[in-house]
Amino acid sequence: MIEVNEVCRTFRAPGGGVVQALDAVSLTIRQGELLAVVGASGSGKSTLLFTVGGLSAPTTGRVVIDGHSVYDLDQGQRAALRRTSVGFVFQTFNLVPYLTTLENVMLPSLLAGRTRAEAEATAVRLLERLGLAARLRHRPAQLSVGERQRAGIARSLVNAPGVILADEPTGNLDPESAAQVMRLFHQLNEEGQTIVIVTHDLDLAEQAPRVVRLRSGVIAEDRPGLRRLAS
Amino acid sequence: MWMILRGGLRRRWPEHLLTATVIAAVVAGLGALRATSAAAEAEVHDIAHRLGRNMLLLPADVAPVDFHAQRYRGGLPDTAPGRIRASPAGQHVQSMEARLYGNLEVRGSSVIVVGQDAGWPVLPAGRVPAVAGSAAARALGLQAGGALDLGGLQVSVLEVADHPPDGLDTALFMPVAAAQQVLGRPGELSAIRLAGCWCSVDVKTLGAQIEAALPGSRAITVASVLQAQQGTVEVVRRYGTALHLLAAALVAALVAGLAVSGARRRARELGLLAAIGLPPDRLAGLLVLEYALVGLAGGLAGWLGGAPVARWLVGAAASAVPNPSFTLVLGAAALSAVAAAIPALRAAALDPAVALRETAA
Repeated sequence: MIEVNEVCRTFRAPGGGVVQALDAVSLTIRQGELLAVVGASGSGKSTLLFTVGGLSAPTTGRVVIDGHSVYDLDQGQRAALRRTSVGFVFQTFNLVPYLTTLENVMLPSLLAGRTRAEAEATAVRLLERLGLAARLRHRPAQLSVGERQRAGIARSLVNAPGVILADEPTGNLDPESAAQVMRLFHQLNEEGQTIVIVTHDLDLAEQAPRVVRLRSGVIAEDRPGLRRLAS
Repeated sequence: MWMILRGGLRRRWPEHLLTATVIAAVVAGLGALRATSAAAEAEVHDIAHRLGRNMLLLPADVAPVDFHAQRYRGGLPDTAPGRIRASPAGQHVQSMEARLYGNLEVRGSSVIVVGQDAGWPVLPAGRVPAVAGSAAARALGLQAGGALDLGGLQVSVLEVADHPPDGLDTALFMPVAAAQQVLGRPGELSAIRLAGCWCSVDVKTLGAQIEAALPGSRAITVASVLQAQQGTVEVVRRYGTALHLLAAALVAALVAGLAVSGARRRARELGLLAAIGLPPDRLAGLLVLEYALVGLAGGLAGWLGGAPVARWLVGAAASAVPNPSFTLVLGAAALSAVAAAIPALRAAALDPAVALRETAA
C-alpha cells in the first residue's frame, strides 16, 4: 500500500518566484489497484508520480510505501526501495540505447544483485510474454515505438515491484500500440499488480477503475472510471 | 555494471579515443623526458666515477690550456711523488704516474719526448728503450727494432704505436731518466697523474692538501666540470617538474571537461539508472571508473610509445635509455579518476526526476 500524506512540492521558477506543483496532496493507493491520474499540462501529475516513486523529495509531507517512509530513508536505502518496490514506465521509454532489449530488461535485476543467469531467465520470460521474443538482441533503435514501450514495461516488471508507476506511457504511441499497452496494464492489474498511470488521454484514463484528477497541484476529483476496457 | 561500462565506453569511443590519445602523448612525452634525463644523469655519474678517480698535477705556472696544447714548460721536482706519498693526502692516492714532456727537433722534425716510467725492459750496452708514435715514426723514418741517436743517447725503438697514450702520435715515449737526459732537464717532471678512489673525500680539499705538500704545483680536478654538468641536470629536473605539473593540469582539465559534457549528454541515461535503483555513489563510481580506464589505456599506450621516443631522442646512447617509469601509467589513470570525480559526483547528485523530465521535454 502507498500512502501520500499532505504532500507539497514547490519549484523555483527559472525567472524567479516559486511554482507550487503539489499542494497538500493526500492519496491512498491500495494493493492491486489501477489508478489513472489525469490533469492538464502543469497540473502536477508527473511530479506526483516521481514523488510517489522516491525520485523527487516533497517540500513537505510524507510518502509511505509498504510501511517505509520513503524520504526518511537515506539515498542508498531509497535506491534499494526503487529497485525492489517500484517499477517506472516512461513516455519516452528511456531504454539505454547501447544495450540490447534483453540487457535493458535485465538491468534492474542485475542492480538488485541477481546473477546474470537469473536476470536473463526472468527477462527472457517477460519479453516472451510481452511478444518480444524475436527482439531480444535488438537495440532500442531497431524496435518500433510500441515494442520499445513493451520493453520498458518488461523492465519495470523484472524485479516484481509492488507498484508500477507509468508516466504518459501511451504519449508517444500510435492508437493501436496505445490500446495494446493499456490492455497489457489491465492484464497485469487483473493479476494483482498495483499500477499508477499518469495520462492526459481521458479516454484511456476512464478505462481505469479509479481516476484522480489534479488541478493546479490539488486533487480536484477522485472517482471510479466511467468506462472499463472491453477486453 | 560491466554492461553499462562497456556500452558507455563503446558508445562514446571518439571522445574516449581523443582523451586517451592526448594522455598517451603526454605520458610518452614525460616518459621520454624522464628517460633521457635519467640517461643524462647516468652519464654524468659515469663521468664523475671515471674522471673523479684522476687528478692532474702541473707546475703552477703552466696553464692547463698550454699543457693540453702540447706547449710544455716549467717543471716539478722528480721528488714530488715521494713527497705526495708522505703527505696526509697520500693515503688517498692509489697510483701516481710521473711524466716529463718536452718538445724536441729531431732530424728536422718536431717531436714530443715523453718520459714515463712504465716497466721498460733493460737493454744491453746502455741502450734506451722507446716506443714511437706512428706520426713520429713516419717523420723520423723509424720502425720497430730501429735505432736513433738523441744527443748521444742510443735509443732503440721497441714498437711503433698506432694508438699511443693520450693520442700523442708525434711522441717518443721513453723512461723518465732518459727523457730528462735527452731534454736536458735533470730532476724535472712536467706532470703527475694521480689516481685513487676519492669518492668519499672532498676532491677540492684533497687537491689543496697536495698543493700544500708540493709548493709550486697546481692540482687540476674534474670537480668544477662535474659541478657545471650537475647544475645542468638540476635545471632539467626543475623544468621537468614544472612540465609534469603542466601536463597533469592539461590532462585533468581535458578529462574534467569531457566528464562534464559527457554527464550533460547522458543526463537521461543517468537519470534512468538512478530511477531503476542505482545508488548515487555507484553511479559516480561508474563514471569515475570509465575515465580511469580511459586514462589507463592512454597511459599504457604512452608508456609503450615512450621508450622508442626516448631512444630516438637520445640516438646513439640508446642502450643507456631506461624504460619510462610505470608510475606514469598509474598516475594517468589516477589523475583521470580524480579529474572525473567532481563532475561524476555532481552528475550523480542531480535530481533524476528533473533529468528525466528535462530530457523528455
